[in-house]
Amino acid sequence: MTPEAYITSGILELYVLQSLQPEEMAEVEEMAHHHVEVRTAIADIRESLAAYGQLHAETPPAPLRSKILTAIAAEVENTPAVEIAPKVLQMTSGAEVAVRYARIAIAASISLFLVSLLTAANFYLRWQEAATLANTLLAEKTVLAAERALLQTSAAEGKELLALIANPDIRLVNLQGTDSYPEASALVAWNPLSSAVYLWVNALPQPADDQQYQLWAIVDGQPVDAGIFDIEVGSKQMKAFDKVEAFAITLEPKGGSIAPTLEQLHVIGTI
Amino acid sequence: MSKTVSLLDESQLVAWLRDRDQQVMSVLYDRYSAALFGVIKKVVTDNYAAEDLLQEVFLKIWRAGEQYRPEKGRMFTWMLHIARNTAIDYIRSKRFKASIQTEELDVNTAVNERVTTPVDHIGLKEVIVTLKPEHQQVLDLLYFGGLTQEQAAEELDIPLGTVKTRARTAVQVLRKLLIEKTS
Repeated sequence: MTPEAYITSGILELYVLQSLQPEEMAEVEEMAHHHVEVRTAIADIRESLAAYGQLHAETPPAPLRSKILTAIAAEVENTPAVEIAPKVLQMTSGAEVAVRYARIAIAASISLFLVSLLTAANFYLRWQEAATLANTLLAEKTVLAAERALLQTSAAEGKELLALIANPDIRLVNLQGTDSYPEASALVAWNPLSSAVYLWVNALPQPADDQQYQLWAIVDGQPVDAGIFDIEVGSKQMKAFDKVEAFAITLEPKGGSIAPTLEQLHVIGTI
Repeated sequence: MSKTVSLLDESQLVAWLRDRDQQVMSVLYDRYSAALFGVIKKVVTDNYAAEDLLQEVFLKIWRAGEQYRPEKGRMFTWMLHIARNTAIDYIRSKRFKASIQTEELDVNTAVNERVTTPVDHIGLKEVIVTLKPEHQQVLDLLYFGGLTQEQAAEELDIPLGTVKTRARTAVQVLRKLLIEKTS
Protein backbone atom coordinates (compact mmCIF):
# COMPACT_ATOMS: atom_id res chain seq x y z
CA MET A 1 0.00 0.00 0.00
CA THR A 2 1.35 3.39 -0.99
CA PRO A 3 1.53 6.10 1.67
CA GLU A 4 -1.18 8.05 -0.13
CA ALA A 5 -3.57 5.08 -0.18
CA TYR A 6 -2.70 4.40 3.42
CA ILE A 7 -3.52 7.97 4.42
CA THR A 8 -6.86 8.00 2.60
CA SER A 9 -7.91 4.63 4.01
CA GLY A 10 -8.99 6.22 7.26
CA ILE A 11 -6.73 4.04 9.42
CA LEU A 12 -4.74 7.05 10.60
CA GLU A 13 -7.87 8.66 12.06
CA LEU A 14 -8.60 5.47 13.94
CA TYR A 15 -4.96 5.37 15.00
CA VAL A 16 -5.16 8.86 16.47
CA LEU A 17 -8.49 7.99 18.09
CA GLN A 18 -6.78 4.86 19.46
CA SER A 19 -9.54 2.69 18.16
CA LEU A 20 -7.21 0.18 16.54
CA GLN A 21 -5.97 -3.17 17.77
CA PRO A 22 -2.38 -3.20 19.06
CA GLU A 23 -1.03 -4.93 15.92
CA GLU A 24 -2.74 -2.33 13.70
CA MET A 25 -1.30 0.46 15.86
CA ALA A 26 2.16 -1.00 15.42
CA GLU A 27 1.60 -1.18 11.67
CA VAL A 28 0.69 2.52 11.52
CA GLU A 29 3.72 3.43 13.56
CA GLU A 30 5.89 1.43 11.20
CA MET A 31 4.44 3.34 8.23
CA ALA A 32 4.83 6.66 10.02
CA HIS A 33 8.42 5.79 10.75
CA HIS A 34 9.19 5.27 7.05
CA HIS A 35 7.00 7.98 5.46
CA VAL A 36 7.10 11.63 6.40
CA GLU A 37 3.73 12.24 4.68
CA VAL A 38 2.15 9.70 7.03
CA ARG A 39 3.66 11.50 9.99
CA THR A 40 2.35 14.84 8.71
CA ALA A 41 -1.08 13.37 8.17
CA ILE A 42 -1.16 12.00 11.70
CA ALA A 43 -0.19 15.40 13.08
CA ASP A 44 -2.96 17.06 11.08
CA ILE A 45 -5.54 14.57 12.32
CA ARG A 46 -4.44 15.18 15.87
CA GLU A 47 -4.88 18.91 15.47
CA SER A 48 -8.30 18.50 13.94
CA LEU A 49 -9.50 16.15 16.65
CA ALA A 50 -8.05 18.44 19.31
CA ALA A 51 -10.09 21.25 17.81
CA TYR A 52 -13.13 19.04 17.97
CA GLY A 53 -12.45 18.24 21.59
CA GLN A 54 -11.96 21.92 22.29
CA LEU A 55 -15.44 22.59 20.93
CA HIS A 56 -16.83 20.71 23.94
CA ALA A 57 -14.94 22.88 26.41
CA GLU A 58 -16.62 23.30 29.76
CA THR A 59 -15.19 25.35 32.58
CA PRO A 60 -14.59 23.09 35.57
CA PRO A 61 -15.98 24.09 38.99
CA ALA A 62 -14.01 27.05 40.38
CA PRO A 63 -12.73 25.31 43.57
CA LEU A 64 -11.08 22.68 41.39
CA ARG A 65 -8.37 25.12 40.30
CA SER A 66 -6.79 25.59 43.73
CA LYS A 67 -7.32 21.93 44.57
CA ILE A 68 -5.42 20.76 41.50
CA LEU A 69 -2.67 23.37 41.78
CA THR A 70 -2.26 22.44 45.45
CA ALA A 71 -1.98 18.79 44.47
CA ILE A 72 0.73 19.67 41.97
CA ALA A 73 2.54 21.84 44.50
CA ALA A 74 2.40 18.96 46.96
CA GLU A 75 3.88 16.68 44.34
CA VAL A 76 6.54 19.28 43.55
CA GLU A 77 7.43 19.33 47.21
CA ASN A 78 7.38 15.57 47.44
CA THR A 79 9.19 14.68 44.24
CA PRO A 80 12.18 16.98 44.56
CA ALA A 81 12.05 16.36 48.28
CA VAL A 82 13.47 12.96 47.47
CA GLU A 83 16.47 14.79 46.03
CA ILE A 84 16.50 17.93 48.13
CA ALA A 85 15.53 16.49 51.49
CA PRO A 86 18.78 14.56 51.91
CA LYS A 87 20.68 17.73 50.93
CA VAL A 88 18.74 19.73 53.52
CA LEU A 89 19.30 16.98 56.02
CA GLN A 90 22.94 16.96 55.12
CA MET A 91 23.06 20.73 55.54
CA THR A 92 21.39 20.69 58.94
CA SER A 93 23.20 17.60 60.02
CA GLY A 94 26.34 19.14 58.57
CA ALA A 95 25.80 22.26 60.66
CA GLU A 96 25.04 20.15 63.69
CA VAL A 97 28.09 18.10 63.02
CA ALA A 98 30.12 21.28 62.62
CA VAL A 99 28.81 22.60 65.94
CA ARG A 100 29.42 19.21 67.51
CA TYR A 101 32.90 19.14 66.05
CA ALA A 102 33.53 22.69 67.24
CA ARG A 103 32.43 21.69 70.73
CA ILE A 104 34.49 18.57 70.59
CA ALA A 105 37.43 20.57 69.24
CA ILE A 106 37.15 23.17 72.03
CA ALA A 107 36.75 20.46 74.64
CA ALA A 108 39.64 18.59 73.11
CA SER A 109 41.79 21.74 73.06
CA ILE A 110 41.05 22.46 76.71
CA SER A 111 41.67 18.84 77.60
CA LEU A 112 44.86 18.84 75.60
CA PHE A 113 45.99 22.08 77.24
CA LEU A 114 45.28 20.70 80.70
CA VAL A 115 46.97 17.44 79.84
CA SER A 116 50.03 19.27 78.52
CA LEU A 117 50.05 21.50 81.59
CA LEU A 118 49.92 18.49 83.87
CA THR A 119 52.48 16.73 81.76
CA ALA A 120 54.77 19.76 81.87
CA ALA A 121 54.35 20.04 85.64
CA ASN A 122 54.95 16.35 85.96
CA PHE A 123 58.09 16.56 83.85
CA TYR A 124 59.30 19.61 85.75
CA LEU A 125 58.89 17.79 89.07
CA ARG A 126 60.54 14.72 87.66
CA TRP A 127 63.35 16.83 86.22
CA GLN A 128 63.89 18.44 89.62
CA GLU A 129 63.83 15.03 91.25
CA ALA A 130 66.31 13.80 88.71
CA ALA A 131 68.55 16.83 89.17
CA THR A 132 68.47 16.36 92.96
CA LEU A 133 69.13 12.69 92.53
CA ALA A 134 72.01 13.43 90.16
CA ASN A 135 73.53 15.84 92.67
CA THR A 136 73.07 13.32 95.48
CA LEU A 137 74.60 10.60 93.37
CA LEU A 138 77.45 12.87 92.36
CA ALA A 139 78.11 13.68 96.03
CA GLU A 140 77.85 10.02 96.96
CA LYS A 141 80.19 9.19 94.12
CA THR A 142 82.74 11.69 95.43
CA VAL A 143 82.39 10.24 98.93
CA LEU A 144 82.64 6.72 97.58
CA ALA A 145 85.68 7.62 95.51
CA ALA A 146 87.34 9.10 98.62
CA GLU A 147 86.37 6.07 100.66
CA ARG A 148 87.58 3.84 97.91
CA ALA A 149 90.94 5.65 97.82
CA LEU A 150 91.14 5.38 101.60
CA LEU A 151 90.23 1.71 101.50
CA GLN A 152 92.77 1.11 98.79
CA THR A 153 95.42 2.74 101.00
CA SER A 154 94.21 0.80 104.01
CA ALA A 155 94.10 -2.36 101.98
CA ALA A 156 97.62 -1.74 100.75
CA GLU A 157 98.73 -1.06 104.28
CA GLY A 158 96.93 -4.10 105.52
CA LYS A 159 98.49 -6.23 102.85
CA GLU A 160 101.84 -4.77 103.70
CA LEU A 161 101.34 -5.43 107.42
CA LEU A 162 100.07 -8.92 106.72
CA ALA A 163 103.06 -9.57 104.52
CA LEU A 164 105.31 -8.40 107.34
CA ILE A 165 103.60 -10.45 110.01
CA ALA A 166 103.39 -13.47 107.75
CA ASN A 167 107.17 -13.31 107.39
CA PRO A 168 108.57 -15.86 109.88
CA ASP A 169 111.81 -13.82 110.25
CA ILE A 170 110.00 -10.73 111.55
CA ARG A 171 110.21 -9.75 115.19
CA LEU A 172 107.24 -7.79 116.64
CA VAL A 173 108.18 -5.34 119.43
CA ASN A 174 105.33 -3.92 121.51
CA LEU A 175 106.25 -0.41 122.73
CA GLN A 176 104.29 0.30 125.94
CA GLY A 177 103.60 3.64 127.57
CA THR A 178 105.92 4.87 130.34
CA ASP A 179 104.68 5.92 133.79
CA SER A 180 104.29 9.50 132.58
CA TYR A 181 102.32 8.40 129.40
CA PRO A 182 100.55 5.13 130.36
CA GLU A 183 97.99 5.40 127.46
CA ALA A 184 100.66 5.64 124.78
CA SER A 185 101.29 2.59 122.62
CA ALA A 186 103.14 1.64 119.40
CA LEU A 187 104.38 -1.42 117.54
CA VAL A 188 107.67 -2.03 115.74
CA ALA A 189 108.27 -4.86 113.30
CA TRP A 190 111.95 -5.63 112.76
CA ASN A 191 113.48 -8.08 110.33
CA PRO A 192 116.96 -8.97 111.62
CA LEU A 193 117.85 -10.55 108.25
CA SER A 194 116.95 -7.56 106.11
CA SER A 195 117.51 -4.97 108.93
CA ALA A 196 114.14 -3.35 107.91
CA VAL A 197 112.22 -1.53 110.63
CA TYR A 198 108.48 -0.69 110.44
CA LEU A 199 106.56 1.44 112.91
CA TRP A 200 102.83 1.54 113.75
CA VAL A 201 101.56 4.17 116.08
CA ASN A 202 98.59 2.93 118.10
CA ALA A 203 98.16 5.86 120.47
CA LEU A 204 100.36 8.90 121.06
CA PRO A 205 99.38 12.38 122.28
CA GLN A 206 99.00 15.04 119.64
CA PRO A 207 102.34 16.91 119.50
CA ALA A 208 102.74 20.69 119.43
CA ASP A 209 103.43 22.38 116.11
CA ASP A 210 107.11 22.80 116.89
CA GLN A 211 107.52 19.19 118.10
CA GLN A 212 107.97 15.82 116.40
CA TYR A 213 108.12 12.24 117.64
CA GLN A 214 111.45 10.44 117.15
CA LEU A 215 112.10 6.68 117.19
CA TRP A 216 115.29 5.47 118.85
CA ALA A 217 116.99 2.12 118.49
CA ILE A 218 119.01 0.97 121.51
CA VAL A 219 122.20 -0.60 120.20
CA ASP A 220 124.82 -1.80 122.67
CA GLY A 221 123.12 0.23 125.46
CA GLN A 222 123.22 3.46 123.45
CA PRO A 223 120.19 5.21 121.83
CA VAL A 224 120.62 5.62 118.06
CA ASP A 225 118.31 7.80 115.92
CA ALA A 226 115.87 5.60 113.93
CA GLY A 227 113.97 8.48 112.31
CA ILE A 228 111.37 11.17 112.97
CA PHE A 229 107.66 10.63 112.07
CA ASP A 230 104.11 12.10 112.10
CA ILE A 231 101.52 10.25 114.13
CA GLU A 232 98.81 10.44 111.36
CA VAL A 233 100.53 7.94 109.18
CA GLY A 234 99.64 4.34 109.89
CA SER A 235 102.80 2.47 109.16
CA LYS A 236 106.12 3.89 108.37
CA GLN A 237 109.35 2.28 107.35
CA MET A 238 112.11 3.62 109.60
CA LYS A 239 115.92 3.47 109.47
CA ALA A 240 117.38 0.01 109.18
CA PHE A 241 119.25 -1.79 112.00
CA ASP A 242 120.91 -5.21 111.89
CA LYS A 243 121.42 -5.29 115.67
CA VAL A 244 118.97 -3.81 118.15
CA GLU A 245 118.21 -4.44 121.84
CA ALA A 246 115.19 -2.16 122.30
CA PHE A 247 113.09 0.59 120.64
CA ALA A 248 111.83 3.81 122.22
CA ILE A 249 109.92 6.95 121.15
CA THR A 250 110.55 10.43 122.52
CA LEU A 251 108.97 13.77 121.74
CA GLU A 252 111.66 16.07 120.43
CA PRO A 253 111.92 19.56 118.93
CA LYS A 254 110.87 19.61 115.27
CA GLY A 255 113.53 17.99 113.05
CA GLY A 256 114.68 15.63 115.83
CA SER A 257 117.62 15.51 118.23
CA ILE A 258 121.00 13.87 118.28
CA ALA A 259 120.35 12.52 121.73
CA PRO A 260 116.90 11.66 123.14
CA THR A 261 115.29 13.86 125.75
CA LEU A 262 114.64 11.26 128.42
CA GLU A 263 111.95 13.33 130.21
CA GLN A 264 109.95 13.08 127.01
CA LEU A 265 110.15 9.29 126.73
CA HIS A 266 106.63 8.09 125.85
CA VAL A 267 106.92 4.40 124.98
CA ILE A 268 109.65 1.73 125.17
CA GLY A 269 109.86 -1.96 124.29
CA THR A 270 112.69 -4.51 124.40
CA ILE A 271 113.24 -7.35 121.95
CA MET B 1 -6.32 35.24 20.57
CA SER B 2 -4.52 34.95 17.26
CA LYS B 3 -2.69 31.82 16.32
CA THR B 4 0.72 33.49 16.25
CA VAL B 5 0.36 34.79 19.77
CA SER B 6 -0.90 31.47 21.05
CA LEU B 7 2.00 29.65 19.42
CA LEU B 8 4.48 32.08 20.88
CA ASP B 9 2.90 31.69 24.25
CA GLU B 10 2.93 27.95 23.90
CA SER B 11 6.68 27.83 23.20
CA GLN B 12 7.11 29.89 26.33
CA LEU B 13 4.92 27.48 28.26
CA VAL B 14 6.87 24.54 26.88
CA ALA B 15 10.10 26.09 28.14
CA TRP B 16 8.59 26.64 31.56
CA LEU B 17 7.31 23.10 31.70
CA ARG B 18 10.71 21.76 30.66
CA ASP B 19 12.37 23.88 33.33
CA ARG B 20 10.03 22.36 35.91
CA ASP B 21 8.69 25.83 36.68
CA GLN B 22 5.61 25.20 38.77
CA GLN B 23 4.07 28.52 37.73
CA VAL B 24 3.43 27.09 34.28
CA MET B 25 0.73 24.83 35.70
CA SER B 26 -1.53 27.68 36.76
CA VAL B 27 -1.15 29.22 33.31
CA LEU B 28 -1.88 25.88 31.64
CA TYR B 29 -4.86 25.40 33.91
CA ASP B 30 -6.32 28.83 33.16
CA ARG B 31 -5.83 28.35 29.47
CA TYR B 32 -6.71 24.70 28.88
CA SER B 33 -8.65 23.31 31.85
CA ALA B 34 -12.02 24.02 30.20
CA ALA B 35 -11.08 22.16 27.02
CA LEU B 36 -9.62 19.24 28.95
CA PHE B 37 -12.49 19.12 31.41
CA GLY B 38 -15.01 19.28 28.56
CA VAL B 39 -13.50 16.26 26.84
CA ILE B 40 -13.13 14.32 30.08
CA LYS B 41 -16.68 15.04 31.12
CA LYS B 42 -17.97 14.10 27.69
CA VAL B 43 -16.17 10.76 27.96
CA VAL B 44 -17.03 9.82 31.55
CA THR B 45 -20.40 11.62 31.91
CA ASP B 46 -19.82 11.87 35.64
CA ASN B 47 -19.00 15.23 37.19
CA TYR B 48 -17.17 13.88 40.23
CA ALA B 49 -15.17 11.40 38.21
CA ALA B 50 -14.40 14.14 35.67
CA GLU B 51 -13.09 16.42 38.41
CA ASP B 52 -10.86 13.68 39.80
CA LEU B 53 -9.67 12.81 36.33
CA LEU B 54 -8.90 16.45 35.55
CA GLN B 55 -6.58 16.53 38.54
CA GLU B 56 -5.00 13.28 37.42
CA VAL B 57 -4.53 14.75 33.94
CA PHE B 58 -2.79 17.88 35.21
CA LEU B 59 -0.54 15.79 37.42
CA LYS B 60 0.31 13.63 34.40
CA ILE B 61 1.05 16.77 32.37
CA TRP B 62 3.34 18.04 35.11
CA ARG B 63 5.12 14.71 35.49
CA ALA B 64 5.48 14.14 31.76
CA GLY B 65 6.36 17.78 31.01
CA GLU B 66 9.92 16.94 30.06
CA GLN B 67 8.76 14.26 27.64
CA TYR B 68 6.71 16.63 25.50
CA ARG B 69 8.24 17.13 22.04
CA PRO B 70 7.05 20.27 20.20
CA GLU B 71 8.01 18.73 16.85
CA LYS B 72 5.34 16.06 17.37
CA GLY B 73 2.52 18.53 17.69
CA ARG B 74 1.10 21.40 19.63
CA MET B 75 1.22 21.32 23.36
CA PHE B 76 -2.53 21.68 23.62
CA THR B 77 -2.95 18.65 21.36
CA TRP B 78 -0.58 16.71 23.55
CA MET B 79 -2.45 17.74 26.68
CA LEU B 80 -5.81 16.93 25.15
CA HIS B 81 -4.43 13.56 24.10
CA ILE B 82 -3.49 12.88 27.72
CA ALA B 83 -6.90 14.03 28.94
CA ARG B 84 -8.81 11.89 26.49
CA ASN B 85 -6.61 8.84 27.07
CA THR B 86 -7.01 9.15 30.81
CA ALA B 87 -10.78 9.42 30.51
CA ILE B 88 -11.00 6.59 27.97
CA ASP B 89 -8.84 4.36 30.19
CA TYR B 90 -11.17 5.15 33.06
CA ILE B 91 -14.39 4.21 31.26
CA ARG B 92 -12.82 1.17 29.63
CA SER B 93 -11.73 -0.22 32.99
CA LYS B 94 -15.11 0.69 34.46
CA ARG B 95 -16.83 -1.05 31.59
CA PHE B 96 -14.56 -4.05 32.00
CA LYS B 97 -15.40 -4.30 35.71
CA ALA B 98 -19.08 -3.89 34.96
CA SER B 99 -18.95 -6.60 32.29
CA ILE B 100 -17.45 -8.97 34.86
CA GLN B 101 -20.20 -8.16 37.37
CA THR B 102 -23.15 -8.23 34.98
CA GLU B 103 -22.35 -9.76 31.65
CA GLU B 104 -25.63 -8.74 30.15
CA LEU B 105 -24.89 -5.04 30.75
CA ASP B 106 -24.91 -3.44 27.36
CA VAL B 107 -21.79 -1.49 26.59
CA ASN B 108 -23.70 0.58 24.11
CA THR B 109 -26.24 1.95 26.54
CA ALA B 110 -23.67 4.27 28.08
CA VAL B 111 -22.31 5.15 24.68
CA ASN B 112 -25.73 6.06 23.30
CA GLU B 113 -26.43 8.28 26.27
CA ARG B 114 -23.18 10.05 25.66
CA VAL B 115 -23.69 10.48 21.96
CA THR B 116 -27.05 12.06 22.55
CA THR B 117 -25.74 14.44 25.20
CA PRO B 118 -27.12 17.87 24.29
CA VAL B 119 -24.55 20.30 23.00
CA ASP B 120 -24.72 23.98 23.67
CA HIS B 121 -21.32 25.23 22.53
CA ILE B 122 -21.58 27.76 19.70
CA GLY B 123 -18.54 26.45 17.86
CA LEU B 124 -19.81 22.94 18.27
CA LYS B 125 -23.16 23.82 16.83
CA GLU B 126 -21.48 25.12 13.72
CA VAL B 127 -19.45 21.96 13.40
CA ILE B 128 -22.44 19.77 13.95
CA VAL B 129 -24.34 21.60 11.32
CA THR B 130 -21.50 20.97 8.94
CA LEU B 131 -20.93 17.36 9.97
CA LYS B 132 -23.40 14.82 8.68
CA PRO B 133 -25.10 12.98 11.60
CA GLU B 134 -23.67 9.59 10.62
CA HIS B 135 -20.15 11.07 10.57
CA GLN B 136 -20.53 12.78 13.90
CA GLN B 137 -21.99 9.60 15.36
CA VAL B 138 -18.92 7.57 14.42
CA LEU B 139 -16.61 10.34 15.54
CA ASP B 140 -18.29 10.68 18.93
CA LEU B 141 -18.33 6.95 19.51
CA LEU B 142 -14.64 6.74 18.78
CA TYR B 143 -13.59 10.04 20.26
CA PHE B 144 -15.67 10.24 23.39
CA GLY B 145 -16.91 6.68 23.64
CA GLY B 146 -13.44 5.21 23.49
CA LEU B 147 -14.73 2.40 21.32
CA THR B 148 -12.57 0.35 19.03
CA GLN B 149 -13.49 0.36 15.37
CA GLU B 150 -14.89 -3.16 15.81
CA GLN B 151 -17.08 -2.05 18.69
CA ALA B 152 -18.24 1.00 16.73
CA ALA B 153 -19.03 -1.17 13.72
CA GLU B 154 -21.00 -3.53 15.91
CA GLU B 155 -22.76 -0.69 17.72
CA LEU B 156 -23.83 1.03 14.52
CA ASP B 157 -24.20 -2.24 12.61
CA ILE B 158 -21.96 -1.06 9.79
CA PRO B 159 -18.87 -2.65 8.19
CA LEU B 160 -15.40 -1.89 9.53
CA GLY B 161 -14.49 -0.14 6.28
CA THR B 162 -17.40 2.21 6.71
CA VAL B 163 -16.25 3.11 10.23
CA LYS B 164 -12.88 4.02 8.76
CA THR B 165 -14.38 6.07 5.90
CA ARG B 166 -16.77 7.94 8.14
CA ALA B 167 -14.05 8.64 10.72
CA ARG B 168 -11.83 9.96 7.97
CA THR B 169 -14.54 12.11 6.45
CA ALA B 170 -15.44 13.55 9.85
CA VAL B 171 -11.84 14.45 10.54
CA GLN B 172 -11.44 16.01 7.09
CA VAL B 173 -14.49 18.18 7.69
CA LEU B 174 -13.08 19.21 11.06
CA ARG B 175 -9.78 20.03 9.43
CA LYS B 176 -11.43 22.12 6.81
CA LEU B 177 -13.34 24.05 9.46
CA LEU B 178 -10.17 24.49 11.48
CA ILE B 179 -8.25 25.90 8.51
CA GLU B 180 -11.17 28.23 7.66
CA LYS B 181 -11.35 29.42 11.25
CA THR B 182 -7.66 30.17 11.67
CA SER B 183 -7.03 31.60 8.21
